[in-house]
Amino acid sequence: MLEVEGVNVFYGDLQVLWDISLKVDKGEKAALIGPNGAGKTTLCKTIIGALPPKTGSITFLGKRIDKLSIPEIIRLGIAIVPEGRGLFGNMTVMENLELGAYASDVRRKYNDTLEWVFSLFPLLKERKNQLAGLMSGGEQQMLAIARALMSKPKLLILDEPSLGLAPKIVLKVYEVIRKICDEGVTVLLVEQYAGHALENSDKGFVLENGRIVIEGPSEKLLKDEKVRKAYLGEE
Amino acid sequence: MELKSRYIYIVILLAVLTSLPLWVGGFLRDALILFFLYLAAAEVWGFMAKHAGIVSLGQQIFIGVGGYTTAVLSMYFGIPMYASVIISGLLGAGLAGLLSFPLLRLRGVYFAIGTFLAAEVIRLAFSGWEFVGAGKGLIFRDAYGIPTTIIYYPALALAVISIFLVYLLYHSKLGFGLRSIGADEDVACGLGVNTFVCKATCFILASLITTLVGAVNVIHHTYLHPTSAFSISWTVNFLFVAVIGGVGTIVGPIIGSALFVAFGYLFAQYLGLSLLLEGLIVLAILIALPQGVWSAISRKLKLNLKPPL
Amino acid sequence: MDMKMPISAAAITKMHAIIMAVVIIIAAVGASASYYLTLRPGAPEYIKIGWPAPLTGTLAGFAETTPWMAQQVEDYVNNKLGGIYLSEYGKKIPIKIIIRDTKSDPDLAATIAAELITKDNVDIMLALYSPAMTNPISAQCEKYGVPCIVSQTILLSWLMGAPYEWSYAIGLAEPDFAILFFDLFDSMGDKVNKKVAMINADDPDGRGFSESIKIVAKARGYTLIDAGLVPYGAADYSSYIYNWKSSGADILTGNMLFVDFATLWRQCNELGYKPKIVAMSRALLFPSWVEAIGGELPNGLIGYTWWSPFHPYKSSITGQTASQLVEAWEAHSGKQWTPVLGLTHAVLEVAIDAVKRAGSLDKTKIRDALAETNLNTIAGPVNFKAPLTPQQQARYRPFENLMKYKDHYVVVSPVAIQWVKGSKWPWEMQVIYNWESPEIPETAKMFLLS
Repeated sequence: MLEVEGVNVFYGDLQVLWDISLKVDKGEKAALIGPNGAGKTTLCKTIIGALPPKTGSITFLGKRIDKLSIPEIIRLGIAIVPEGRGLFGNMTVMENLELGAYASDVRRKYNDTLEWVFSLFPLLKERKNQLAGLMSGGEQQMLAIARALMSKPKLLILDEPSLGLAPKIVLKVYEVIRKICDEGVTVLLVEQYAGHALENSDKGFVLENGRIVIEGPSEKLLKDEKVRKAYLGEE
Repeated sequence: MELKSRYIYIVILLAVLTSLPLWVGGFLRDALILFFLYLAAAEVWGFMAKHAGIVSLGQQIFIGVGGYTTAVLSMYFGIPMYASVIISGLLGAGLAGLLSFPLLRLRGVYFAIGTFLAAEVIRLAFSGWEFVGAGKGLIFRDAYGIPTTIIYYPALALAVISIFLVYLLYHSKLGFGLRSIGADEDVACGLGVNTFVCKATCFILASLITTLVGAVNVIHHTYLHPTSAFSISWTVNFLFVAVIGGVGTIVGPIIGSALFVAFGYLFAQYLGLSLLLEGLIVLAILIALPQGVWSAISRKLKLNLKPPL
Repeated sequence: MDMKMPISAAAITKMHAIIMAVVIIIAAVGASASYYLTLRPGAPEYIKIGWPAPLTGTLAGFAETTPWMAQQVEDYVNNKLGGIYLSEYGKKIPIKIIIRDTKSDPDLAATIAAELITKDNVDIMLALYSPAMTNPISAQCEKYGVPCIVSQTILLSWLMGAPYEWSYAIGLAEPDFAILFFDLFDSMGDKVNKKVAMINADDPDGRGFSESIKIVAKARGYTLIDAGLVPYGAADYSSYIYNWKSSGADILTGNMLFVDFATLWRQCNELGYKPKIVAMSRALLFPSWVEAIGGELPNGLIGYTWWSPFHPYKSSITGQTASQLVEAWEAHSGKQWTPVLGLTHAVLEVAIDAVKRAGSLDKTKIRDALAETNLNTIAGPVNFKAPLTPQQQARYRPFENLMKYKDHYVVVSPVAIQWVKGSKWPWEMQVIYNWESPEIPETAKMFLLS
């Protein structure tokens, strides 16, 4: 479904991603893990079209997307839940959701999509006229995911969905992510803390200093000594 | 039923406003023309600044271009005045489109400085341009014959159009995108909002209104001088009208413009102190009511109006 | 997508209340204002003279004497003369001079002029102090059909708005200044060489002056060492100065802001450039500007003026002579007189004279009387019908508007002055060359700087 091949990305003259290749298949849950500053968010931005790669190619559903604009990529079916959620605190829940559908061509089916999203997040329906900024951290994360779903994506990228949340809430977030996957949405999880991400995914990639250093089935990575040491906090 | 009666009130209001020049004195007509012109320009300026995060300090470009184009086309090219006004509007919008490319790549304070510098460059160009009278200015003789009873209507129309434009923009998809840009441009970008197109469209629409304000203003005042036509004091006045009334609201600039015009007449009587007095009063209002007069009133009366009212 | 918000019933009734309140307020204000404004008694209470003036802002220096002058004349006319006799009403009517501050903003000047016309119903308007003020104000007078007396402005600039129907000017003609200076240089004979160093500000005034000088210098066989048009606020003029010095120019002339000229003249002094004559346009008009040059440097600098206490004229209203007016101002304000004082008074003379002769407050009658003005004022004779002198005709011929609209202006002839150490004030001007006004005494003999 998504194929990243030999991608090199620069900020000005500074190279931040080296020869990245990864592949996510339809219906899969993939996890991208790595320490702070490894280039995870940069890779997300590159896939969504905010940062053009200097060399290499990105293919989505068999179509080259590395030269396309963000709205075009969103319309093809990729959505992102940005790091730090990126909600508009002064807008209502409803308005935030509407913005999620801003670029996509499913606007015609807007009401169906909204219903679908509300069925996944019943709480948001109750709170639809509340200002997003007044919600709790967990609720905000749910809203951020819901907003991304408003463009009816085939691939959902979640950048640090558990960041800053209490462990109990994180479990809830992952429950929702599993549900979304069951609905047929392919998921790319990007996490600094590897535990939940690997437990809830089929395969994983480890990004360090802008390079993919390890990849493989998540079960295998969970057992990998290096991964356990670096990302699961085990001695 | 309820909604219907709301429209009736709006119709009555418009009827009163359109018949006003027939039964009020010359001075009031004059004052109302200024009120409408400042209102029209301040509505769009406030919308841009508050909701789209586009703080322009260069709207005087469009006041000047509107004024000069209208005067030059009708005086030197014999084009009917109404057509000159329309052409000037298109020209202003086109210029805004061109300026968008270099300027809208800048964000925040850099954009503000960029617009101001662009206005200065244009002012200098007009100061040396003999065809438009250069530093001597331009007297728009052809407009002497246009009475304020006539000028009143385009001024009123501009104010009404500007208010409706802001209302529609706010509730449109474009306005939605703009508000997300105003809140966080990067996130908006990530959601697929085409930030450049949104901002440029908004800037062009606002500049179109501002250009038309400049065009009607020159018909009213019949005199142009590069230093005053392209003076930053125009934009500062729009800012004043928007901020004192309540920036980003529709009702705010109505109050702001009324105060501004009243202050203009009032303080001119305090010989030698007018600038100082006006500055002090404005400062006092802004310190006492930092959100503007209208926001204070609507909060006090618990009106709970929906934005952007 | 449908963005319409449900509107609560409470919000609608509040909307009703607001809209109704707005309608009622506008209607009430409009009705009362129009009633008040159209209410006019039979005989006018006052003869109203409107005077929008730049009391604050960049032009404030010009309007400094305005409120005082208006008060003086108003008091004199109303208390000593009992008003102005208007034959239409068969009685004397007091005058009221309404001054408003334009903040030196041309656009506000237009707004205020319109206010004076439409709200205060002024019978005649005064528009003074530079084209930025006179042009928008007289444009409003033309628009509304109100007689307007324009003064203290550059005629060529004001005539951009010609033809005028309602406005008459007592102004200055740019082409005069260059000729005045060269006539003065010529009168020096062999005592100075015919090399002229020149520098002008890069603005309309500087450009205009530069053009005139080039034409006159060529016609009279002078060599120009021209530094060209220089932007405001230059910090270093040494390259020009060395050039002038090596070419041995005895004369330095130009048109600059006084701050820039002060810098230039200080640097000339430091670098040892010693011309025999320094004749500057613009920079040496006001004593405060001259004083700002500092030290002994202003001594002997030459400029021009269009009015001084030495001008042998007196007021047609108060009978005050020019020197008495200067004394009165200096006693009142404690400030040194400026050339603006004379025309500030003269416009009031012309206004009152026109109304008196019209015998009516009918604007057309006042305008017609204004056109017929033949009055000796404190700033000299004002007669719009008087023809140009042969010299003026020769000078103004290249300027179409000056030739075409002669009946709407009179020119105040400048005289050359030299700044010297004063007895009452640090620097005082002496008339050294009366040029085309033989009635004005030359109060001192010109001296060369070296």
